[in-house]
Amino acid sequence: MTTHATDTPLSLARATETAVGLETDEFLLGRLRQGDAQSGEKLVVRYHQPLMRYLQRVCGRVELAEELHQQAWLSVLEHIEKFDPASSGGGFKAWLFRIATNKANDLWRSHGRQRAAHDGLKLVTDQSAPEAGARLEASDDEAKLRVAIARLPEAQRQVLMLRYYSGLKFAEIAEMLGCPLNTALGRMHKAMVKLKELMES
Amino acid sequence: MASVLEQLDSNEAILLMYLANELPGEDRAAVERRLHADAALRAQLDQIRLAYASLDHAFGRADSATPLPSTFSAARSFGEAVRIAHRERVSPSGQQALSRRGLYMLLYPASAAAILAMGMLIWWQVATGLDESQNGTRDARLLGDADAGYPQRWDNSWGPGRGRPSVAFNFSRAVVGPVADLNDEDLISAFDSMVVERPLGSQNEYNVITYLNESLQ
Repeated sequence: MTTHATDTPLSLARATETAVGLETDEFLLGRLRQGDAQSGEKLVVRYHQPLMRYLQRVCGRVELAEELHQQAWLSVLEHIEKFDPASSGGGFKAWLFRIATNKANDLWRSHGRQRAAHDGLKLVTDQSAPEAGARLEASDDEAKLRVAIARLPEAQRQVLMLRYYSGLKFAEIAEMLGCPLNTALGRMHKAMVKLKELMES
Repeated sequence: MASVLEQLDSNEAILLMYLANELPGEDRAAVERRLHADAALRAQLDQIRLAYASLDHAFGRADSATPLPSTFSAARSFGEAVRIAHRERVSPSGQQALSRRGLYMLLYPASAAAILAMGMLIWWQVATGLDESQNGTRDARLLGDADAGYPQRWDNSWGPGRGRPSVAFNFSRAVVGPVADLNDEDLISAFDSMVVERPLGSQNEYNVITYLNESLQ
């Protein structure tokens, strides 16, 4: 499994990595290719928290995130023969997050204007009168963060969320999103500044 | 090889890479030298570090307030999907199902091509005035061949704008059959079912193709 040396506090993925067992992703993937369901389950468990959190923050809704999570893993299963760890920077984790990001992008595109209108409405209602269920489930901080994240441009949001939840290197994130390293870093910085402003306002 | 630092065009980019510990040793040392000499850059670094810490705190609090769906059930569902996929791959019936699926995937483009070709055929018939009553000798041989291979028990009546069932049958035999891996017997059997299920009076081209497409899926 890939390890990342980072001294930043954005380290949920690092904490997840140190908590797992000795079997590497590549080892489990090899077993999964042979039809070993248990190895697949181990991989799901290993990445469940960072991947679900990432999808929750990117798409903004828990139930949608759950569906995308399922779709992403089915896609892993479908394309497992094509995955080559040697040619994929960031290894299995980068591939998994790329698949999840593509699924989220597909959803984003398919919803189109309807989604934008819905989100605009959602922002207004979230700010003025959160749902009763949401009030019970989430703290004010969570609701505030959710609204702030929703206000970030999609490209900035993806870089920030990928960095926080996947723990991939910036170079790997840039490669995954198909943009230059400078662009990814610029988006990251803008996202951090804007989010901090929104959270403090 | 160019240093990473040379590729970065802003202080923010450099400091983010520095904080993330993603700069090679030499570049890192260069940044540290610049930080030592430049108070403004140090202040910028502190700001970014503060922003990181603040977001980390906000994300941590928000995540702890948002329940995650069950890891166990997600893993179990995936495990079940793996088992099913593996069974399909290794069992003969699974392989058969996979090959049939492949066949069905071929049927869509084949049917589309067939319908298109039928459209062109009808257009051609209209354009060239192919009508037995007006032009009995033209293409009579082709029609005769088609009629000869067409089982007598089926309606072969036809008219302008409706097409000739025997032509449709031969077309299916020539185009759809090879693509869908159907022999004459399969096609005759499919036509038999169609005549029973869809007593339309005349099995024109469109009906034939759409029926075959639907019944084979």
